[in-house]
Amino acid sequence: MSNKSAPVHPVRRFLIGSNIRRTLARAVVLGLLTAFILRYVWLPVRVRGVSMEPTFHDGAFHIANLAAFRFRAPARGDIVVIAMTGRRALYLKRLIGLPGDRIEFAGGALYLNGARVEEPYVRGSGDWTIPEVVVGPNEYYVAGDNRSIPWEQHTLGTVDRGKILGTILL
Amino acid sequence: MIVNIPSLSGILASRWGRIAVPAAAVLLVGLLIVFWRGRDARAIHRRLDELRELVSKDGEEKPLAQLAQTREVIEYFTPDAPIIVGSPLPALQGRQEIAALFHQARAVFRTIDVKIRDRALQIAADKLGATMDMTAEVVAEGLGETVREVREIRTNWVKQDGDWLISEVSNVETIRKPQPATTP
Repeated sequence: MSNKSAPVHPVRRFLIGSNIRRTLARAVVLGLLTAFILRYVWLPVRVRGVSMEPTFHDGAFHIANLAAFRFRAPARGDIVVIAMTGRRALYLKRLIGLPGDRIEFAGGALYLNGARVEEPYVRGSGDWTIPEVVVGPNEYYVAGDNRSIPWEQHTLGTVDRGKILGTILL
Repeated sequence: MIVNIPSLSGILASRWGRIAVPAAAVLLVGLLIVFWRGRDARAIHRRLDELRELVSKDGEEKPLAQLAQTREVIEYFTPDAPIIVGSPLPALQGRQEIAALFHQARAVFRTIDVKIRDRALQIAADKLGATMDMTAEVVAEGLGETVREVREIRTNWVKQDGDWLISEVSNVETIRKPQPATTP
């Protein structure tokens, strides 16, 4: 009786390895890990709408990094994803105000604590004139980059910290 | 081959039977309680699914069918239910206004696709009222254009004569818009 086992076809060996049980176990672990990462860490998102033009285009796919703010607080200028009633539809906005900030728009320009802020990422300055808001504790002020939309039709304003899930990775 | 079916007393007399039978009984009672307590939640989800189906439209429909759909839709609301979700929808109050808007929308749009996501339901302790937050997405095609709206909405429900009806529809404002300054 020979100890030599029958030669395994290279394609079969490449696809299922030398031990099918181990390969299956690895596949299951890899699948679960991927599912976990794609749900809780790097969430694939598709942009719908034009409120973040020209930074983000309608229909484009991106990856949201849901772990970004576990290690640091959101900062001014960050692109943030915000949970609606759940995680299957999210807002994508730019963070322009931190807790305690005074935010105001006058004649299309953003004023932060009374000083005008240059926003190179903005499309069309528009003519937004929005009364001053003092951002509350544990709140942030967000707006889209496309200021050519009348502000009454644009979703902007203050949001609770707990609703900010993360930022855009890619 | 002979198969003996053991009697209950026989099972209980065994070591495993003394553990397994009470455990199974507790599990069964637990399942019954869960099933019983979830009745209202299931009924509300079912009502919402039905309403979503009724509001959706996948092609041209005859005026009579439109009328029938409208009649069915308003049955899901209490007679004086307000719907206030902001522009572009006007504020509606009661079944008549809901019916008028619904009928108009069905006449204008060839297709209406409604998706409901992320439902969060809370039922009152007395089991006669409930609140459900959700994200609703509506895509409507008609007059050569496609309209798409995504809204976070809150629906209040009341139980009347055993049926769950929507008593109010309002906006959920995750992002709170600054209010225009009011002149004194």
